Amino acid sequence: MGIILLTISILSPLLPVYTGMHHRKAILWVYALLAFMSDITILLLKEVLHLNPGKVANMFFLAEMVCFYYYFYKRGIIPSRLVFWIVTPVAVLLYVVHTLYTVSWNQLNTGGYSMMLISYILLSMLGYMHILRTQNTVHIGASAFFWGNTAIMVYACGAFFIFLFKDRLHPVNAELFGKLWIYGFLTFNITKNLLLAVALSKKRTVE
Amino acid sequence: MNDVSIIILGIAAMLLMALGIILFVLMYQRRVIQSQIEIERVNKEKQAELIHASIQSEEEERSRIAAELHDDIGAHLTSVRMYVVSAMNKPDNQATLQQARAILDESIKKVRELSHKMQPGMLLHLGLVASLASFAKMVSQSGDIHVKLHEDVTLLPKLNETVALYAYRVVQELITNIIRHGNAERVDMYCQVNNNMLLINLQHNGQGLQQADFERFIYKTGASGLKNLVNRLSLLHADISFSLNNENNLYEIRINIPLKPTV
Repeated sequence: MGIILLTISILSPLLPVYTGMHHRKAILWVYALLAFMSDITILLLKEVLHLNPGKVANMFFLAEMVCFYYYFYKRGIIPSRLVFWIVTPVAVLLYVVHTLYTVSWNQLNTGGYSMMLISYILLSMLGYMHILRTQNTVHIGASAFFWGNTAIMVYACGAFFIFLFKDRLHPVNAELFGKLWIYGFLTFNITKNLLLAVALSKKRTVE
Repeated sequence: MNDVSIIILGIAAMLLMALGIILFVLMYQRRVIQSQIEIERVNKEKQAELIHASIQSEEEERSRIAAELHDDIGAHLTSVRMYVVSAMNKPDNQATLQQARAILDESIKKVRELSHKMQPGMLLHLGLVASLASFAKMVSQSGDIHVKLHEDVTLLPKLNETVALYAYRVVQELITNIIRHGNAERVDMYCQVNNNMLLINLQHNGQGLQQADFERFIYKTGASGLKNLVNRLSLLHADISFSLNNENNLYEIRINIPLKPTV
């Protein structure tokens, strides 16, 4: 069951990559492609080459943050280019510094990532407010932003506690955490990719 | 409580929050759409009602003209014909000819009044102010009511023909209503231009309408005159308000007409 979920989770970014094939300049499409490449690389490093995939995971987290912040900036949630160009480098710098000085570049910075997830949750909430304020579409299901925002919200809400408690639970009970990771995180990751696929299938304009 | 329970509870709480937010967004959006649909429906109904009122008013006007032509002018002309036939038989009968001339004069006056009501030619040549002054004079001649147009209106610039005609019709309808339903003895009419707006203010001492009454009437079946008035005002992008001035106890009707409307 675990292997099946892991395989589905690794392959799931291909679904938004496929549905968004005609919108290859869309940031969510780029993100999905990065997610797939990162998952494959981590799998190869860990299972085939028996190397530490921490660096790749940390790099992916940073890339994910830039992608999501850019997505929210393009939709007007981050109010201006200036704010985007201040907030994003500051957040990247904080994550890098936190990783280098309190964890290690070879180790997954789960604390830092939890903070990132909180920022995604807040931006998603602002995204919903934006949807309600603008009312661009008659049926909300037709809005690509609604699905993209929902994907980020569900993923961030689901993954937040898993990452927050990883460092505490994993050393004590690795087996239990493994189950939580497989049935919890992987499920949210698959859900996120399914919702991103819906968002990219709705897209009409390049973001 | 161990860490696993906290994680599971935390995940559940976060997911519930996410679900709650999503549901709220969906329900709120649905409610907004429903209210927009309702507003659209009411607007369509109102529009249909206004069109209906406009057609009805046109039909009523035609009936009125037909009745006036048949009962009044037709009867006058028949009488004149009788007098003329009688005069032909007795050429020296001056009294009969005098009678015929008096009836013809009366008929000419009636035709002129009717024509003036249908299309005030003065409006095209002399403008809104002169036409309103003439209308006020004509109404005052009845002796039952005194309508006065105040002097400052001479400052009014030359208006677009449609604006002038619609404004004239609106004032005409309002004064007719004041005479018919308000039992007023005096009407004061003020016109001025302010910030590219034509402001017409009617004050009368009869029984008038207040804003709530007016809004109730325009949604009521009948009241085609008022609906027609609303129709004309909406074409001018103008607005109208009704109130009672407590200081002088006079009813006031204020009309604001933008001077560059899209008609």
